[in-house]
Amino acid sequence: MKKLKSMNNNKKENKKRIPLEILENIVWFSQFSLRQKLKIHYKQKQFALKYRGSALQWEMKKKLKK
Amino acid sequence: MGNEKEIEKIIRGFNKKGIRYLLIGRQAVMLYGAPLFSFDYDFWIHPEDKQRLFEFLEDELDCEVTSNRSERKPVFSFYTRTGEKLDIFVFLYVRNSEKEKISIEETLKNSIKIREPHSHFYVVVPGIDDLIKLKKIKTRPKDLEDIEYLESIKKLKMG
Repeated sequence: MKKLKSMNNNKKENKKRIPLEILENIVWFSQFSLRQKLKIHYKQKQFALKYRGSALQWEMKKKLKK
Repeated sequence: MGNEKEIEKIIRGFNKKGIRYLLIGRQAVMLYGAPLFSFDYDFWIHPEDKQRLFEFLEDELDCEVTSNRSERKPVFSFYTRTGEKLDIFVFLYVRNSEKEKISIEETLKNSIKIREPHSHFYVVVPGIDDLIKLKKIKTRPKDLEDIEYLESIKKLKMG
């Protein structure tokens, strides 16, 4: 039982250690298909990341207004 | 060959012709789910399939190559007709900065196929642990960033 608890705690610790920004980026990027990921050009990716950044800021502003 | 489907056509050819390959480098990290930038495609090819690789890319698809097929260079590049760059690595094994030996035979055994849903199209990439080992060959800042993403993705998959 103790072992199980410590395993669970380790799992939680492992999850906690993922930086939020990285987690958000991974989740955001998961919307693209395999083909899209293979073909996204550098400039398109720059644009997409820039757009994502501003979209996030917009979301934050919305939350702060509430 | 249309620009849009060029890389897909190349990977389809590898799969169809049984050329043993692994997509490595940043593109592989991206396919695992990390939103990163990469200009070119890195492929690790089994040395026994080098001849067939040349027959496909140079003879069939008319790609330009930086090396003669008879040369025994372990690293060279192909440029497609539309300017995409493919870096090719042809060796049996390599050691990373931690002195770990990474062989193509073992890496192929542990490899995974990332598939496009509702399609026969797939890409062969190293298992996540092998990709992390491969990323430790040079350990440039961008490699460390890649490793951080791969470790995070591994944790997410395990969780």
